[in-house]
Parts: sequence; C-alpha cells; structure tokens
Amino acid sequence: MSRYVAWRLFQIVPMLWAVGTALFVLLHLTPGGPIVALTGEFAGPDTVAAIESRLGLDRPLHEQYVRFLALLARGDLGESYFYKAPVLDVVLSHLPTTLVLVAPALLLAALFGIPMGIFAARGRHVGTGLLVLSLLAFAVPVFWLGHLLRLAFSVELGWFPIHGMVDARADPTGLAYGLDVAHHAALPVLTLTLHQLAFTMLLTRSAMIFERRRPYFVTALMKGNSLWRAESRHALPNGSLSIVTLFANRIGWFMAGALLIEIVYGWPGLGQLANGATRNRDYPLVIGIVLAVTLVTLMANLAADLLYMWIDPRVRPGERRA
Amino acid sequence: MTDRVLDDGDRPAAARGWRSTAARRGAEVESGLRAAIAPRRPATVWIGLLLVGPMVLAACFPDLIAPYDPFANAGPPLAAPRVPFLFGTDDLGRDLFSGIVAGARTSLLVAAFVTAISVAIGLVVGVTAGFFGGLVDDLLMRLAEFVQVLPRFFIALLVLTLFGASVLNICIVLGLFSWPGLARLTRAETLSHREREYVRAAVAMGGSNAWIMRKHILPQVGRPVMAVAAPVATSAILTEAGLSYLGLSDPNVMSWGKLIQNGQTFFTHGWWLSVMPGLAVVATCLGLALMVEGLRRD
Repeated sequence: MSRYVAWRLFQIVPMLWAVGTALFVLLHLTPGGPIVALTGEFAGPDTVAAIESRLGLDRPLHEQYVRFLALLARGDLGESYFYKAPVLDVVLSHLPTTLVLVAPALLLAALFGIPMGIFAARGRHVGTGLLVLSLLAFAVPVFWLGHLLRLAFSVELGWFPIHGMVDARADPTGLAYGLDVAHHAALPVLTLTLHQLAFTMLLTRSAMIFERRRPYFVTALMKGNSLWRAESRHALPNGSLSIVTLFANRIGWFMAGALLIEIVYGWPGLGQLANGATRNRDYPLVIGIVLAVTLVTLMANLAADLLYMWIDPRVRPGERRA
Repeated sequence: MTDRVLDDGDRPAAARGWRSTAARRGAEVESGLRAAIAPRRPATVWIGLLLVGPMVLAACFPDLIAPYDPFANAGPPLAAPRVPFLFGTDDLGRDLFSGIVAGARTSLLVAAFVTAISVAIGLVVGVTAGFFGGLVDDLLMRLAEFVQVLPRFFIALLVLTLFGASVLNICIVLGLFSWPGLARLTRAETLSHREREYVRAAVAMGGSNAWIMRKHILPQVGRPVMAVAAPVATSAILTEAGLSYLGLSDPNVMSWGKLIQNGQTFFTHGWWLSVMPGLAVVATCLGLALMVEGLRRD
C-alpha cells in the first residue's frame, strides 16, 4: 500500500515536467520571445537585462531549458510588475481567500449531492425533472447564475451584501469579523455549490443505478439490510470509484467557476487577482496563477486516486486477486 | 450526457482490471449500438432544434436578422426592451438584440471549430490506442488522462494573454485540450470492433494497419462519437463566454460573455443588459444538449 502511494506520488513528477516544458515552449513561441512574453513590448532596459540574466537568454537553448526548470522547481516565477513582489508570494497571499469560497462549496456539494443522488436513483418518476436539471446544470454559465442570484437576493431583497468580502464601513474584529465574512460569502458559495451540486447528484445517480442492478445489492437486501443501509454501505462504496474520480476530474472546471464568481462578487481572491493580471498584462503573475491552479487540479486528482484506494481494497496493488 | 461520463474508460487505471473482459466488451458493444440508432425522444430533438435553429440562422445571416449595427449608436442609452429595441439598448445606446445576433456567430464558430479539432484528435488517438493496444494504448491513455485533468480554462487564459485574444486562438487552445473524453469513447468502440470477423478478414487479405483503421474501423466508430461531441461544444461555448467575460476576447468581435460583463456594470439601471445575453448562452447550450439527449438511447 505505502509503496503504491509512493509510486503514485512519483507519477506526478513527469506531469510537472510536462507542464514546465509546455510553459517553456509557450514562452519561446510567443511573438518576440520570452522577453516580450514576460514584460510586454515596452520594457525598460533594466527589466530586460534582469530577465536575460535570470533566464540566461544568451545561453544555448538546452541550457536555458534546464535553468528554467530549475527555477520553476524552486518556485521562482519572477516578480509581478504590478505588485512589485515575487509572484509566489502574491499568489500564496490570495490563495486562502479563494479557499474560503472553494472549500465550503465543494464540501456542501458532496454532502448534499451524494445523498440526493442516492434518492434520485430509487425512483423512475424523478427522471424528467432530473434530466432538465442536469441539462440546465451543463448549460448555465456560472458567472451569469451568480449575477442572477445577486440581482434577486442582494439588489431586490437586500438580504446579502452586493460586493466584497467585508463591510468597508465597519471594522469588525474577532467573531463579528467571521460573521461578516460569512455573510458576504453566502451568495458566492451558494452559486458555486449549486453549480457543483447538480453534477455530483447526477454522477451519484448514474453510479447508483448501475450498482443497484448487480446481484450483490439484491443479496444485501435479502439478508435483511434496510434499503438505506444497502445503498449507503454496499452500493455506494462500490460505485464510489466513478464518483470520486469524476468529482476530482471536474476540479479544474470548478476552479474556473470560482475565479469567475469572485469577479462577479468582487471577492478579493485568486480570481480578482487573475482578472487584474490579465488586464494589466502582468504576465509573470498570470503564469503563476495558472501554474498554481494546474498544481491544485493535479493534486486533487492524485488525492482522489489515493482516497479511492482507501475506500476499495480491490484496487490496491498487491492485494488484488490474481 | 451523465451516463456517458461513466464509461469504463473513466475509471482509473488501477481499477480497470477487476471487471471481466467479456462483460466490459458486452457493455461497449451495447453503448455503441445505443448511440448509433435513431431518435428515442423526437420531441426533445424538436425542442432542441427550436432553441438552436434561430442561433444558427443568426450566426449565418447576421445582417439579415440584426436590425442595427451591433457596435453603432442606434437609440437612447439604457432603453428598456420594447419595439424597435426588442432587448433594449446598452449604456451607449447600442441595440442589444443586434449584439446578441452578432455574438451568436462567435459562440457557434468557437463551438464548431473546437468540436471539429477535438473530434479529429479524439478519433485518431482513440482508434490508434484501441487498434494497437499494448504499450501504445497505455501511453496514449495516460496522455489522455493527463490532458483531461489539466484546467482548460486556465490554460486558455494563459495562452490568450500571451498570444492575444483572437477567436482563432480560443478555438485552437480549447480544441487541443478537449479531446480526451472523445478519445476514450473511440478507444472503447474500437476495441469492440477489433476482433470482429470483417476486421480479421481485412487483416487476412493483407490490408495495412492504416488502411484497416481508416476504411473499416473509423466509419464504425465515427457515428457514436459524433453523438457525444455535444458536451465538448457546450463547454466550448461556456468557456468562450467566461473568457470574454474576463475581457479576453477580440475587441472587434461581439461576444455573449462580453455583453454580460458590460451589462453587469449597469445592473441597477437595466436588468436586461446581462440577463438577455445569458439567456442566449443557456438556450444554445440547452438546445444542443437536448438534441443529443433525444438522439441517444439508454
């Protein structure tokens, strides 16, 4: 087991290498090369010289490549032009703010979506409603949904603040600060949850329908298990492979939604940062944010694989039947 | 759409061994037949067509449908929706209906190109992996898993920032990163055809691998794959809208995301400015999904 975990962790190395190489190629393909890619067209001579020496642009290409990968491995992504600070620091300082939205939304989606999916798999009559819901979930842009929710609950009803993370006019501390943030976070979290909830529910439903048809499920019922117990203790663990895997596969899409939702609600996290960075042409910062999100999605998928091994002993190598 | 995501190819490598090959092949054959047969819910297809049809018309003949130039001042600013401004006007007095008509071309163009690119890559990768098996299969499927995990939206964000936000760039980036699902399905379909008599006969007659793949396997796996290309198209539309919402779009090209973004600034003055273009996105994606859902059998 631990050997397999180590092996899976090791597998992320070629992925990171691929991402770094792709980035290197992209920077060199940009019209004007890495200097224009990293500074824009009107950089001062100092900036150009700094980048030339940092990336060793006067060296042969293969040396530049090795140096570039070494810099990446150390987390050295250069300096943001707008913030005048190392990109890594800027990204890391905004990450927790984004997590305040992302973590509760993912948890809520899983917490409600999976039981809802189990119930939805029970009856045929919910089919049409679910079909419409599922098609809508794949058709509504998340930033538009967020805007509609804001129009309804903030502008018309006035239940929630329209913008931002804290009330700019008050300066609460301690518990009051937490409550204020929660009040501001409620709508964005709700939007993100709704977006992920429909997907989670449909995923669980498909997996459960598949598992319910199999003989072991009938056996579990015949042995006197209650329906709920047979579903949650027998069918769900067996079906969880696709649920966990696809839930993790969708993290990238979910992060994109989170970024857009931050912009809708003026939430000062990575999304707002990315918005500013693209508008200011702050290339190192854009690269840093994209790398950070890529890393998060790779890690989430790795975690899903490991989580699944913990759930289902059959996929643990070495314990599998020959 | 949701059943499709549960194809066997979506299960991680470690877990694939425990289902028996026979059962898996049976399921694959079944899924192939399922997708290839005529409409099961004709009404769904018609509703879908009803939603997508006008968008296609708008994309093909914007000049005939749009009453005004989408970029020109046409009336008073922030006029509410009524004749002659069906969807109202924006802060500069531009006709929103004309803007949405012009945006249809961008959205559908992106959807069509992205789908075409990813279907092409997906078919080639899937057929190659399924036909040759072994190491080729392993390598290609690991690659597919890797690409599937990458955050497409953010890669597009980076490329558009570096290379400039043109419609062509969006199509290329999204097309290059949207194929894994299609490749997996193609591979599964190819596996189910690989050992059939007609393929064996072609091998016995001395057909080259490339010829067999092109002449015998590709026509068989093409149709089911076309049926599941809709999610690629809808997610391309949504991604394009998201990117142009961020300001990453060609300033000379109208786009629904851009209209929504502009409208949000004026949400206290005119609800229609962001609601209408959003409805256009929803109608198009919903219509596409409904058409495919109606064409599928489950």
